[in-house]
Amino acid sequence: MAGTEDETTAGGVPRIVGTSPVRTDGWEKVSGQAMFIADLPLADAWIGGTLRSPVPRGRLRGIRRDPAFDWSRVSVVTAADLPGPNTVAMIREDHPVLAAEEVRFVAEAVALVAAPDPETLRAAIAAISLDIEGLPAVLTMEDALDGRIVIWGTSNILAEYCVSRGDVAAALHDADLVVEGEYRTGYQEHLYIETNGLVAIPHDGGAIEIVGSLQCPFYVRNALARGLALSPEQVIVRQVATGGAFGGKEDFPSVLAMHAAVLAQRCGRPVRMIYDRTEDIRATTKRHPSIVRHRTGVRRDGTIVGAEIDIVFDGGAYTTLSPVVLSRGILHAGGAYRIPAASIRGRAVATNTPPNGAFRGFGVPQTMFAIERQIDRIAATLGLDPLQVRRKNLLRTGDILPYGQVLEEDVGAEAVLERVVEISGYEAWHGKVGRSGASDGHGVSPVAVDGRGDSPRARDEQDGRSLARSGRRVRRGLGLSLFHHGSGFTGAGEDKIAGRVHVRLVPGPAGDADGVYEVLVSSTEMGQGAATVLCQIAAETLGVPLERVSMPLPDTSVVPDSGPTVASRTTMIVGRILVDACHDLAQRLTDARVAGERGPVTGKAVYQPTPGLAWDEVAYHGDAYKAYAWGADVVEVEVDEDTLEVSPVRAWAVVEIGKAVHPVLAAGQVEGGTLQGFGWACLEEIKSSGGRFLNDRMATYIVPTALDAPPITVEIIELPHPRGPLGAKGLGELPIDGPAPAFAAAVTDALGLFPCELPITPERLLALQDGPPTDLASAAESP
Amino acid sequence: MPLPHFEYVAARTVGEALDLWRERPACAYFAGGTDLLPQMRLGRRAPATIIDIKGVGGLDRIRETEAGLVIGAAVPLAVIETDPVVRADFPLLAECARVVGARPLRNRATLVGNICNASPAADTAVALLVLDGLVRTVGADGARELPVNEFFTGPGRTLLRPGELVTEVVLPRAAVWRGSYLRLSRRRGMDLATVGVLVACSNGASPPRYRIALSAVAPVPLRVRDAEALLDAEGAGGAGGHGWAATIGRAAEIARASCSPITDMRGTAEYRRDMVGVLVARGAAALAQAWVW
Amino acid sequence: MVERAYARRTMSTTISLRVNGQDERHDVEPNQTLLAFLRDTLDLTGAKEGCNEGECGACMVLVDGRAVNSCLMLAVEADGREIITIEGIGDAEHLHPLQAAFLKHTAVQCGFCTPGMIMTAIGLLAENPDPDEAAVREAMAGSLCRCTGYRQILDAIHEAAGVMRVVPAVEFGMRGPAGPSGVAPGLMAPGSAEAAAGVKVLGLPEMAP
Repeated sequence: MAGTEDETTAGGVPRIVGTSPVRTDGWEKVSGQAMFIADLPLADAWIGGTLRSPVPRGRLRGIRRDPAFDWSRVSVVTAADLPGPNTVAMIREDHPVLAAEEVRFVAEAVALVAAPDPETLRAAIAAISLDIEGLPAVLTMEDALDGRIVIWGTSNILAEYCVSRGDVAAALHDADLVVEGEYRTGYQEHLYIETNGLVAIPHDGGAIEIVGSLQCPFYVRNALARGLALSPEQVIVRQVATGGAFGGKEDFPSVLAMHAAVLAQRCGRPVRMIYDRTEDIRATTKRHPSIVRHRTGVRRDGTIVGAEIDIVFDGGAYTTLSPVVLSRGILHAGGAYRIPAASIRGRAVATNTPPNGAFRGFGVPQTMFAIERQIDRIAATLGLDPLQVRRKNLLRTGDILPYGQVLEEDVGAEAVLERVVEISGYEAWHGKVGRSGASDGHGVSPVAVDGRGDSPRARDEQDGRSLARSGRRVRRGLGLSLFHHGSGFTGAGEDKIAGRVHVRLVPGPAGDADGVYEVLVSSTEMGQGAATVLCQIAAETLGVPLERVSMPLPDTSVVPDSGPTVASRTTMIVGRILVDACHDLAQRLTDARVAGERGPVTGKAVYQPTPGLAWDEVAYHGDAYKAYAWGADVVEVEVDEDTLEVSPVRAWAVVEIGKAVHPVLAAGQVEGGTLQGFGWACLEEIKSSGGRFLNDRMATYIVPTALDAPPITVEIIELPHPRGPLGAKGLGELPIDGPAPAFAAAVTDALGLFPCELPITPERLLALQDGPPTDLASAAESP
Repeated sequence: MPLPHFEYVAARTVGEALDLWRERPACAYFAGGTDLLPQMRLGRRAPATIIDIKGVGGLDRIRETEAGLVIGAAVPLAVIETDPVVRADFPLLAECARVVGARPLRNRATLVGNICNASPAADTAVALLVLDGLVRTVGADGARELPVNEFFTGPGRTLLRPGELVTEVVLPRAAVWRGSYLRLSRRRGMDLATVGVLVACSNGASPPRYRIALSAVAPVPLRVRDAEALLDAEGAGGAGGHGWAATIGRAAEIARASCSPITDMRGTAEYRRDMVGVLVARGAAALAQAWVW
Repeated sequence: MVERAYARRTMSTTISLRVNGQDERHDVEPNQTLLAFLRDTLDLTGAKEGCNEGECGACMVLVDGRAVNSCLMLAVEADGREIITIEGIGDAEHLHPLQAAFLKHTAVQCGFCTPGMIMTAIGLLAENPDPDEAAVREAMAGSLCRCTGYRQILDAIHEAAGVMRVVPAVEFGMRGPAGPSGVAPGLMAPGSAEAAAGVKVLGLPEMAP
């Protein structure tokens, strides 16, 4: 228990890790002094803008400039004008900086313009016209798979991986039942409140400086070095205060930085490019839509004996990060369950839609929704409680994952599940002993009609009256999910990155005693609290007060490459390297002072591969993640039986994250991720027509407001992990993996309908209600 | 991107506003601006001249007259929703005003702007339809008084002639109408209505009279007079009596049949039509319940 | 042709107004929003642009004491008005109770919505000094946060409301009172144990056999 830990560190300084000090960036933010990219004064900067394709696919025959416009007032760049290869280097080099011969999605960049003021820019862009011959487009995953129109490679497949363990055919053959299900999820837009934006500043000799709202300074540096044909040292990338990212500023800033950089080089002055909301929604990445099919062999008691899982992600027009998003999705597709025999195939397909990319969860929310719904389907089919099926199959220490990793450390699955069941009253709600989930074909538990039912959770009298008066017929339901998330990069990713961390002591007037410690990392603060948490880890390790530790905004010419701020890796992986760097600093400091040196001293460390962990990239087998964090959600929904409006009214989230370095920040991550998950579950949807996004404004792409957010009870369990700094594992993405399936399960509990597609809107429920009855038993086949 | 360029002029009198309109090109009257400015950003409107009428004497007030309560064109919704007289005597208007956007938006947005924008989803329109509101205008041809029930002619279109300025809305004090505005939207906070249904009853009148108005389910906000007539006729003997539930069901069916919703990003036509039936029945039933005291 | 549509430059107007207690007199273009004026002309960049259509609330300021989306108001309309922005409610030594409470409750993540959130809350508390939970949620519905689950923001507003009810000296546009650590009286010091009280941290719970 946290309370039983020593109150002080070895150095006699009060414990810092595990406490919740004020965020290190808090004051600037509450006072309005924090400088975001649009707040930076840059008097001589021009503004950059983008001319985009109006069609999803076409042959670009020409770009015409209206001769009536005075083109000497602006700078224009098209594919023909690029200084280097026409590619934004990410995993592959298929993403052009600007479309050259073919446009492949609506809103693809075709030409760039820089101008001294917005009016001139607007006029110049309007004076350029595109001559495009339309080509047949692939707009859906189904069309991509059927391959009649090939838009990428030879088969529209951007990436494909398979994971296999045991004899699945035999397992399914021997199973009592094989349960089948298909699950679909839609786009999710990050909708960070600050849009993508940055400034490119040209320097002598072709060097370029990028200042911007971004997650991964070294990704941008590497993309620019390749695209501008510069050495990495000629590119300097600096992050400024970043108004939310959630993955949306992981890959896309490389595209935007290339655009701003080529314009800056062309016009010879700084160029600022800050998207307005509509351009941001139309042109930047989203969460991949998905289709996941499950065939699960089970015994009558609910034990899973084998599973076949087929995953398709919509990658959009270019590769971006789709292969790694898919990879993580595949590796989590079996959920937090023991599956003795498994065959998992995943494909990311190309379509003529804007490229999808990183979004918190990174492929896991999609496959976790599918497995969790599948578990509910198994329970309903067998007449078992969903909790019972989870208890029977959940992963425990010593179990083996479908890709062969043996779980050697403490597994938190049971701990989070039992705790969330306890605090939410889940069992009392469902009737403790063996409630038959869908014996009557409708998983309807005690419901609160008019808010007055005999449920333990009926609203108070006053509410009940108002509901009755308004004539609403209301049902409530409780749903559960269990989930996990691997910390850090998949497989050998961390070994390849070999993240580095520096810690520098700069002596003060009184020498080391009032010196300040600087944590020099490329990790970015984007709201999640990395700057505070890393300073806490350093202060605790160094045995100095937190006030003496700071983490400057990253600048690639100053900080070492600690890797990108993604993949729930910053606290666990970078934090661990930071601990080593602090130890190195202590040693070097002693040596330096003994030698009589007085100046600043820097401690350094590099990522140390864990002996014994191995990953086979070809066979897709081995130790995929250094650690797993675990979570369980219960959500209570209220459903209006007539309008089919569904809203979460209360939620409980329990996570096991090794060690909460800053419990309040950790809870903030859990609450925020949970609400984003609810948004994806019931509100957020991109509607498109002919490849064009229709809801491209905040008025039309809607996210939860304060009125839509349920109270969320958060609890954190700590099973310290040997490889995390002071036991900490990754947290950032975990909370978004569980809310959607819990929400869907709650809808099933309330209405007896079995939604398999997100978002769960009133219209989708109406279609389910009016459609053929959800006969879950027919989904199963007896071999 | 900044707004496109335009000329801004502030009128001090109605006459001055009309003169400005006549003298200058492509004018738009401007009060709260919460609809006009976003539409200009979207390129849907491009006035060359914006005539601010908030400084026109008298338009910023709510006042009592013989004709009824008069609400000036510059009065923001936030003032209307909290005005004690509106709340006591025209509670339906207060209720409908309160669901437009979020509070800070309503500190600027006006009632007159909401109806002149003539969105099919205009929340305040249904209240004014039920309350028999009158729109007072002044134009080149002089002053007019237009019933709100005839004011809307299509999405974004009204009876207003070019240059005609809406100065006030009049709420006649014929009866106090009570009821509730049942409104579906995709999320609870700050969202346009997917379906809006106002079912109201004249409080204390004997026999009771019923009114039903719909938003977001037709090219214009509209009344469902056939359904109202049915409720009036069948409810004469006292609502909540035997057979009333069946009557409500028939009224809901009439309302369903009289709307003509479209499918857009907020909802499908089928769902909207179904929900008109659900909400009319719900609103009428709630009234019946309120009557059994 | 396109040129012509934007060639309709019209003359600028001089406006006089009070911003954060200072008298200001400036020429503004008719198409300049109040948000653009504050940011570009006065260099008050605390109010942010998140949507430019009144949906996100990041641009919130007080106009004559009422919260207004400054992206939907023209600068010329501010003539003669009193404007308060986030920069006018407190400073490093004298935090406004809402700023202190936002810090204390970690109601800040990325911080982009924070100035707007605080200004919206000030507008609310000016009208309703003792709002219940529903009233706060309702009042904040026009201010979007994508990082938090809103709870920490709502908690901060409730606590600040309590402080402001007993510290009447806090007036908008004036420096708030401050304790020795820059925290308004009545608020616990940020980072105190109480601040973390809402979060339960457990070791491995006892497992049922």
